[in-house]
Amino acid sequence: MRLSRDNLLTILLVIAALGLGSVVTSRLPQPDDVMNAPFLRSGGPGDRVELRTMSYTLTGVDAAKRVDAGLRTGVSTGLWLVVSLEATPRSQPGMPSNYDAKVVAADGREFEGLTGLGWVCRTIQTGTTETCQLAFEVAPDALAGARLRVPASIYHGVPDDIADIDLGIDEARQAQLVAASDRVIKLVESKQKGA
Amino acid sequence: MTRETPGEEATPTRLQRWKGRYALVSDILTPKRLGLLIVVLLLAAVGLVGGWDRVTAETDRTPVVAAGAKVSAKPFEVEILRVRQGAAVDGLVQKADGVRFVYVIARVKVTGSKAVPYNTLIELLSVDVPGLATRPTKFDERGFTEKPPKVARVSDTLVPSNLQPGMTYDLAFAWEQDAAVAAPTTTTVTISGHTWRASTLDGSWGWRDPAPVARLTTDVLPVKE
Repeated sequence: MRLSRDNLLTILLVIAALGLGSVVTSRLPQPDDVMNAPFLRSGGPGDRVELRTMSYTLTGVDAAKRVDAGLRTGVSTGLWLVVSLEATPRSQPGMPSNYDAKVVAADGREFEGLTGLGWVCRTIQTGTTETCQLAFEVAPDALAGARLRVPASIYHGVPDDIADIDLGIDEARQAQLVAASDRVIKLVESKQKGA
Repeated sequence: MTRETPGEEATPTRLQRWKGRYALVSDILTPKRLGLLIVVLLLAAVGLVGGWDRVTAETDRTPVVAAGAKVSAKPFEVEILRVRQGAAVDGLVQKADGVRFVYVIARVKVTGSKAVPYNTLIELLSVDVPGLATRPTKFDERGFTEKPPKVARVSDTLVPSNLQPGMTYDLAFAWEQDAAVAAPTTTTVTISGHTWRASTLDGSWGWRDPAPVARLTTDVLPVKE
């Protein structure tokens, strides 16, 4: 059978339409992405951010080149950003962990916890509030505009409910923290609020 | 479509001509026999040129770099600083009887915008040293594979569960070597890069498929006591 010009044109049009459809589909959000997207619970310093499993309140931030976690001391070429939190488990005991949490810089860089350092937060009983510190190693220029993200839990590597807390660090505070970073921060073991 | 003139035989097409030729031998050369013949000829041809080994033998085209070179090996930029062998270094590795350690000290920078986990880091370097410790293969208990190195930060000896984006670390990679085997005086360090892709099993994204991007041959000196 000889291929007529009309047939050839139809084939080319179909191929072009399929290609265009593929490009459009790849740029649109997929149903799975939308359904699996975590809930972000936003807040700032002093705000109580409620998650499915725990509530968090940011009470302070500090930074230094060295951090003493009791058993181990971390020495960074950047900075150790130490965030102080009040945490209250809602329905079952829980432990805030820097392994699950991350610090997200204003430009999108994501700094995750370092398990080798260990952590000072302990398991908190349901309904009680404890103060607790988490340490993250970050680049010195990542402090301004950074946010702390702590998930309610990790299920198959995908967090479903995330506290998204603005650390309240602006350029001036960043410069202040960097200038005073040549020291050691000793992490304080978690303790019951008011104790 | 061609229209035939009545009383005139149409010129056979090329397909019809080949069909006519095949009809002469079709009782002997059935499609099944023809297929078998092709397979036999293919195997004979492969055997004549030396078998599949020659076909599949890979030519190592990995670039060789000099000491001090900064090598891009996604998601890292790597510089090999020095290679040492000897006893356990306190804080980096634990002492063990009959074990010598081979250390590669490397300056590693994370080039992406996300933290990179330890499991990716331990696939970054490998050393060409005889007698390295092995462990059972993950999915086949009968097989053994080279035990990955232990990696620690030189600055504080912490094991880096994550390396942070944009930051540079001096890291010690330590491999266990059987002390009964001669200590290496020279070695080739292979630097491997990774590909960021989704898992075909569970769809999770990660750095996978380590592949060599550079090799560096260097002296191995004894570690200072």
